[in-house]
Amino acid sequence: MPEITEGLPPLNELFNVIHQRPFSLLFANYSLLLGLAGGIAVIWAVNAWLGRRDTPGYRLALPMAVSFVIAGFMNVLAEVKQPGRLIYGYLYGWTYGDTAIIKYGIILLPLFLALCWWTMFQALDPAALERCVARLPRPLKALVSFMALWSWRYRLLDHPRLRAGILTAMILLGVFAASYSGIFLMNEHGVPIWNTPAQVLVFLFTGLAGGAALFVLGVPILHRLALGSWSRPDRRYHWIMLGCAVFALLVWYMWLWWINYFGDVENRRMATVLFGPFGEILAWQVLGVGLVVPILLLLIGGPRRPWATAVAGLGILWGAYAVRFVILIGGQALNHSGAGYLSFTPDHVVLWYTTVDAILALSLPALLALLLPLERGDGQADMGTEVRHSEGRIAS
Amino acid sequence: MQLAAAGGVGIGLAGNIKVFRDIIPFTQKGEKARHAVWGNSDVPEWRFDPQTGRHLPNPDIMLRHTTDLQCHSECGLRVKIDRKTGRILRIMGNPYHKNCREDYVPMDEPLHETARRPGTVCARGNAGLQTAYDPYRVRVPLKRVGPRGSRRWKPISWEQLIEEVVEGGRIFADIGDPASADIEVLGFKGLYAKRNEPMDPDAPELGPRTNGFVFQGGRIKKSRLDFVKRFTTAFGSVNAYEHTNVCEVSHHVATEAVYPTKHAVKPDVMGAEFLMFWGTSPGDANFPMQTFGRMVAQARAKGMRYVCIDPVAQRGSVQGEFVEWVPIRPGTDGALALAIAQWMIANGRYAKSYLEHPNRKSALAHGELSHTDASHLVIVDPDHPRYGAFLSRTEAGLGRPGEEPLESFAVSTEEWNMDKGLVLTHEDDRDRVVIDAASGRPRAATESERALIEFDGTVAGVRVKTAFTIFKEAAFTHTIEEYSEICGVPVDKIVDLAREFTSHGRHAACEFYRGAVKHPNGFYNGMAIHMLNLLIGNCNWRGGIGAGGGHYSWSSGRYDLKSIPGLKEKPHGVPLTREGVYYERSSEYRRKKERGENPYPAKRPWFPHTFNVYSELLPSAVERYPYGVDILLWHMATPFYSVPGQGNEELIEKVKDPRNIPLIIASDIVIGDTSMYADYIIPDVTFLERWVHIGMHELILVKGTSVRWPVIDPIPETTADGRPYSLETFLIDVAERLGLPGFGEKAIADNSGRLWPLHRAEDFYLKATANVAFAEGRPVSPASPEDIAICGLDGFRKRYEDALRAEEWPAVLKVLSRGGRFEPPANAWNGDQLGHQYKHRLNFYSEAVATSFNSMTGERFPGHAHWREPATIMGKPLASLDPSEDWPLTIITYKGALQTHSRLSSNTVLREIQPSNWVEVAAADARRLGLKDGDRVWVETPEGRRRGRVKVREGLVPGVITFSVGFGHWGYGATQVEIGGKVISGDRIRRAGILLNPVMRRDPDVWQMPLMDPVGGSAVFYQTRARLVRAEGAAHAEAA
Repeated sequence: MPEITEGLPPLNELFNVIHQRPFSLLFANYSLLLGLAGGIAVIWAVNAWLGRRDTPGYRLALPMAVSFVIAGFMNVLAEVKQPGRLIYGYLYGWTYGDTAIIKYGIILLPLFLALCWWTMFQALDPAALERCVARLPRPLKALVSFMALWSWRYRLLDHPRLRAGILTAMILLGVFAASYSGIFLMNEHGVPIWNTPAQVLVFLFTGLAGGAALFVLGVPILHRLALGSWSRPDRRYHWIMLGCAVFALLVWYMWLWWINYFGDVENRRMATVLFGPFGEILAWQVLGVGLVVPILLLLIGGPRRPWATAVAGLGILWGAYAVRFVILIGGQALNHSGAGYLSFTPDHVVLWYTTVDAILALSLPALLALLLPLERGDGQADMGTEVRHSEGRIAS
Repeated sequence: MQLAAAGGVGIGLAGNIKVFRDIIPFTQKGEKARHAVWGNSDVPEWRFDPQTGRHLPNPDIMLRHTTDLQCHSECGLRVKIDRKTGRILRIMGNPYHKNCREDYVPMDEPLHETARRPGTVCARGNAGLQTAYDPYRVRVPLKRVGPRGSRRWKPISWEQLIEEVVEGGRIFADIGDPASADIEVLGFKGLYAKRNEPMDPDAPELGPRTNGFVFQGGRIKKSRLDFVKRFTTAFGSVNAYEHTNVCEVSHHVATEAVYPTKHAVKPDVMGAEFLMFWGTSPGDANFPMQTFGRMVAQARAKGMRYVCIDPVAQRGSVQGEFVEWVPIRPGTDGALALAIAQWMIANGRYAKSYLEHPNRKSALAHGELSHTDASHLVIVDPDHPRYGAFLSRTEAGLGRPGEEPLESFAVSTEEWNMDKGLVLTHEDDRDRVVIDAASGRPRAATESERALIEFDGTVAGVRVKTAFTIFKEAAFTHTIEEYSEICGVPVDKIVDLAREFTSHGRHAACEFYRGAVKHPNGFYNGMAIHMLNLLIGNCNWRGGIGAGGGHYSWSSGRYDLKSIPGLKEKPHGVPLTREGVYYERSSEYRRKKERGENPYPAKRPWFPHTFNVYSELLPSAVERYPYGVDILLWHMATPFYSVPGQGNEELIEKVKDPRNIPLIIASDIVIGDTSMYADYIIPDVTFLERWVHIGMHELILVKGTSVRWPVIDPIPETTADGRPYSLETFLIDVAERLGLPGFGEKAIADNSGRLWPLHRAEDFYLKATANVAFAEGRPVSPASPEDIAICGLDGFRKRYEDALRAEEWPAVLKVLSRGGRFEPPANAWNGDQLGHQYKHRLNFYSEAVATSFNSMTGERFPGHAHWREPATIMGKPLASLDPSEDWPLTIITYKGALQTHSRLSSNTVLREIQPSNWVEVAAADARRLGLKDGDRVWVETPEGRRRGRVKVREGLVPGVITFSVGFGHWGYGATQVEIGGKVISGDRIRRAGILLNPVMRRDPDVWQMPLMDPVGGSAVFYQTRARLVRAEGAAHAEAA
């Protein structure tokens, strides 16, 4: 690939210079899953804000978000070999206010999960939900009632102020979830690929684009699974994907432009890594498959060609993972002394958790979609119907 | 569908069962940390008890003190060991050792007192456990499969190893090498049986056939070398060597020429006001490296100034108020030193009064602390039969010298006897003549109070000059401007240096190391630098030059480890390297003379004044000059890697040919760059598993002997009786099988005449430790029970109880618990004088050198410092050999603080900091050549080319390129080998970087000999001319 920016010529051509790597591939998995969940949540909340509630996406997106957050958590807990010791990091973070971003994550990300979980039930038709729960055996009924927080009894999203508060929280937490892994990396000292807000923006916007892609790809699949028919995604997701992908690409290029003109030695060394051992992944998977090709497809194909949108969505999802791989694995491949790279070789533990958590992330939304009562609004174009809210009244 | 989805969720959750198991029960907290707060960080070895106010040892930890060998600094180590697993957890500095702490802890203070006074070692020292735990360690004996160097081996039993190398025969018939299959190997037994046969009946000076056994050691010192020499002596071979001539032997020889009996003197850094470092800078190399750096840093903080005179600016040369880098052209240090000397003499800024004392008695009477031969008369008449010698009393008509012994001249040659003996004769003052200052008449040097240091005239009809006059004339051969032209140091700077050096009384000194002497003129460069110290008379003064505190003897006292009971005849004969002997006394010379031929040149050079001419071993063996080699034993030796110009295909092919050397055995901890060409590899133990006793370096002003002892169990396998596979076990088993004296039963005599057995290494080394513990009639105090427990020495005593007398054990354990025996710090100085003083005469002139000849040209070697153009052994100036138009650059090397030695390539923590090296190019040259950082270039020399990466740097004299040594391995785990049919992959990191040694300049007139210093015996590392050629498209830097 052409070198967009001139990296420092490698001082040597060493690979596998051994050094401590804080993260494994599991953190990239976690970053992707939380990014997608955040993207889904933000788009879902905006839709809800705009009144696009009676849609398959309104009811089927949040099971995906919930599942991804849970699977993401499993990845990061598997990454931390001593998960119980997170509590020390947490306490340490509050004791010393300028450290440990984890202290915010430990509070906000479970809150995000809880919010997604709860609004997942709030998005359902209350009557259908009540009927569904009523059919359950008594012990299970109590459990499900608790898990659903008795959501058929109230409609918080119908109350304008509460709705605004909930959706604002959803947007903020969604943005946080999509950005969090990037912010976390930004605070790891001495890794030039990580120590920049640019990668946070890249994470956020590839997460948003990926979220939109899942509205295009995931929701129809879940709809087909749960209700036996394909839903038709709204064209707006086309433009969201395009906008976010273009923005992510712009950030990439501006980042590299900045390095070229203003980057210090560490940044240029970073460029050496990106265009050296990770050059092919960056060129083909992040930029090519993940951004440029989808952008071209979205531009050329336009919203009227669902196949182009779908293929672009696949590319964006692939690219969202590839970009995390490059930034995370590439970042810690760079030796702190600036010489030599540690190439990536996943061990069997990492592969195991990647596999089982991928299964979990894919099967849990399906299970939820199959179990939840989705009788209302099916078959309509997603985002196609705007529902007027009944002002000032909470349904019960 | 629901079932499938539920199944998927189930699989996903079940797959995470360990995560749930870890996080749900908070009591377990997953993979349990060792400590609730500190987690898995290093377990502290001490716990502070606030009630008693003292530190209590952690019962799970052993602390053992031993001696490092990650470089030759021999620093003290505190090794922290997990008592349960026996594994090393960490390596620190030994606070009882002066190398590791300026205010080191007196050895009678208990161990717990050191908890708050830690010692330090450098990064190499810290990383040492990775040398021991190198996954490429050889653990069982290996025998080659296929031709030498084919990288295929088969494990064999210890018994088979001993059987085959001792008995010999067609021992390579079964390895699939046609070249070896029919060769009848003599073996140790066959060769030993020829111990009464001459090597060459026509050249009896070559000694017996047993000289056909050659021990080529890389790093082997002191008591371990004593052990090896015990074997070679008992076997009857003079050929035991270590690596010194690829290190800095010219420094040693030049020093010994000036300071008889000492091969190194060092400045008293802490007391100095001004120091000049030549060819080195503190904290980069030199001995002991980290101690030098620490001392200089502390002295600098107190106002000491120093300059580093070197073509390359190292860390210790950093510019600043107290430090200055003086760039100089490679190999011209002698010119600069002589220019400074000239200015000092011309301006009267030298210690003339001091130099006028012709003997020690006179010097001491006048408040001086040493004396020189400045006033001693030398015969300068070329027609005189003793031309070049000091005028004797008889020749001066002053009668024969008295027979009275002069205490100050009782030269102790203990170390040299055990090492390779120097043949620089150290004549005492009794037969010297001076011109008495008071009477103006010749007088015996011992009888004059003051003498003229400048005299050129005739005494009793013999034309003579004083040693000082000879030196002065040499110093004035060129003008300061001419010297400046030679060395590239501006005249003003020369004058500044001279003025500064002479502005601090006796509190200034010159120190030099490898960079100044690894040249064809290295001996004379070194001598010239020493002259500056002599001119200001700084020897034995605080802040001046000292010879160190010395050591406690390990070889005598309670046990006589020097003697070999039952030895009938000491080995004799000309060494294979022809070192320490005169060509003019050889049969070859005699026969040529008898035939009326010009006896010069000899086939290969002879080196009468030096030792350990390591670089001559392999070419001499192949050329069978002066004789062939039957058995070659490499130990930590890697000549193909380390000798300039010798890692070339032609020599390697010759060595691979079993007809040239029938049996090659290597003792190594890994399959090294050279040991990969051996027939057998004997596993050896690392410095953490082995023994050595070694004195303190001369930088240390107090007396001390460090002890290296096995602080962990051996990594290699052991024999049936529990001895580790190692060099010692091999030599013992071979010796016992041959019935050599000094091994087996009745091998070592104690001070009561009783004979002790030698069946295992500890039988020897524990007795050496006892000698140290009881040295000088002042035994150390017994080790306390607490210290014994902390060091885990109780079991150690039980294991080797019978190696010593019972009453010796408490003191021996004390020495082991401290990692040696060290004098209290207060003995370093005595007011303005050094506590331990050098008591022999200092020389402006070496008679031994002046009366000897270059065996290749017949030219007489001058006995004084002078400027000499670098030249080949035949005297061809190097400038004419490789003209600068074709070869515009000169290669020099340097020792980085993180690599150098082969064993460090296994230390990944060091390779993380510096994973590779570069072709370092001066910024001005890089601009001229259009090179920038990272460019790939070929370094081409007249001997070949190597490829590497450019690093552009300031702090390098234009016209010079450099690289740090220690990279670019092809063995030592760097490349794939096959052992017992199993492929062991190489580690690419160990292959990283560039090594230019193999393409360094060889002498054009002597096959496979590097450029050499004919007097000092150094192989030349800093005179190879080169050019850089851009290597476009090269994928990887070439290692070798």
